[in-house]
Amino acid sequence: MISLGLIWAGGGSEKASQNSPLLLPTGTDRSVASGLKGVRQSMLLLTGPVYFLAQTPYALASSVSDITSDRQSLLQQRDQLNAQLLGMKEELLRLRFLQAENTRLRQLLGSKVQLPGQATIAEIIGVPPDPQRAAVILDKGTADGIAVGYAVVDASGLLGQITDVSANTSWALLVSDRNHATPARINRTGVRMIVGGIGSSDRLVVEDLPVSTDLRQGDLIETSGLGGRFPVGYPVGLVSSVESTESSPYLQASIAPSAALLKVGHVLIISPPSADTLAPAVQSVDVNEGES
Amino acid sequence: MRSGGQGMTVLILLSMVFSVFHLPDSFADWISYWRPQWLLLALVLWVQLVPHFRGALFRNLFAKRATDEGTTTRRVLFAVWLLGFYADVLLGDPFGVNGAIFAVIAFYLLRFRDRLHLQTLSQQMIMVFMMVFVSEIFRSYVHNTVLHQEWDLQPLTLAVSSTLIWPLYHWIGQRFRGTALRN
Repeated sequence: MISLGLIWAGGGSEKASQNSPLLLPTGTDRSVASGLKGVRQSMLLLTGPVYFLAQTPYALASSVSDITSDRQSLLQQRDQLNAQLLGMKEELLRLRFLQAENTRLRQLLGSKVQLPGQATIAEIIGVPPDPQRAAVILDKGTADGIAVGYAVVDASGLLGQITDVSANTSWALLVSDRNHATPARINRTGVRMIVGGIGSSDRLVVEDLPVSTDLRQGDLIETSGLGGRFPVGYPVGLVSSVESTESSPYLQASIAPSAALLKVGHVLIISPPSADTLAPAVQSVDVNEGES
Repeated sequence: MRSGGQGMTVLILLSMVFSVFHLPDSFADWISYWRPQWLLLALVLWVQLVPHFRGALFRNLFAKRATDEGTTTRRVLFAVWLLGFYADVLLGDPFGVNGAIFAVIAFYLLRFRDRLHLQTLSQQMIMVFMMVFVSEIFRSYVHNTVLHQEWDLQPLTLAVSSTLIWPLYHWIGQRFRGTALRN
């Protein structure tokens, strides 16, 4: 169980392969491991109340501030949100047009149309106390249709993925954790890469990108969708520095994560696009059919 | 005796809540390196007082009272080992780490029970420092090998903060013992 529960890499990262010797090899061990996994899952259910209790002061503080906030500030807040909503609606209209156009173009090319996964809103109810662990505990579980491997995003970018789930709570590993790797690509050029966490909340690193790659400071890095775990096109971060040394054939680039990894609040859990949503848009036509 | 046992159960539950409590975002990151090991301290207190206090969990696990010391030791070790699994899930540690730590510390406390009873508060604080320090080194070793985490000063800082918090637990323990003697 120890080893099985620890391989969380989103794609074929080197970190995952470093982990693989830990995988239990034989059939008996596997059944023991899966049994322990069940025990762990049911115990996770029992930890929910403790996390809810630990969150109580914050819940109380927020309800107190709700009660005591005055009319003026609420009206101001409403106006702000209305303005924001209008902007979002306008953007959505443009996005719909672009999506329709994208679907048509994909149909012309005969490639598949990938539908987005379903999103569930969840609240962060806890953070593990160890500062070296980059993870959060969410208030949604299998009862809400959440499963291991679902992507977690916030308003500005990719946050992480679900690694442990009970009936009403789940653990999400953040992109900044040492054991996390994200299959990504450069938005400007489409070059794919693996973005790894190093345990720091403000820096991710690019793994194994050749020196010749066109990567510049300020480039947007987004999820590539390879590996089938994360949906395509969610921002991972902006390139903050690119360095190349003569001694190494690889670029040393760091990325500032887009998502607010340290903030506590609401997040979205997104189910991965499953196989049946990858329906072909058009049937391929055999051009030689008439000749035979 | 009864109220003391309930108090102990509440103390262990509160220690669990404290051990997963996180400070607001505005607090500096370094503070989390100084969090005391609340659950471990509560466990040390419980094991020290175990013939007097059995607690709700223990009462339910073993309905019949132990007659000899060996049975008590075995039961306590089993109970803290089980609690360790729960702590693993609570803190997101690999399965078995906390169970091993709790069981070894409980064994030490029970084995040298008579000697430990004669210790003053300052001697107890030194003992708590050593126990937390060694157990955190073990935890860091497991985190390093299994979770690829880096070695840092946490074993030292956590041991220092736990030692400084111990007088509070000691005081609570004395109150419990007082309740037990009165009833």
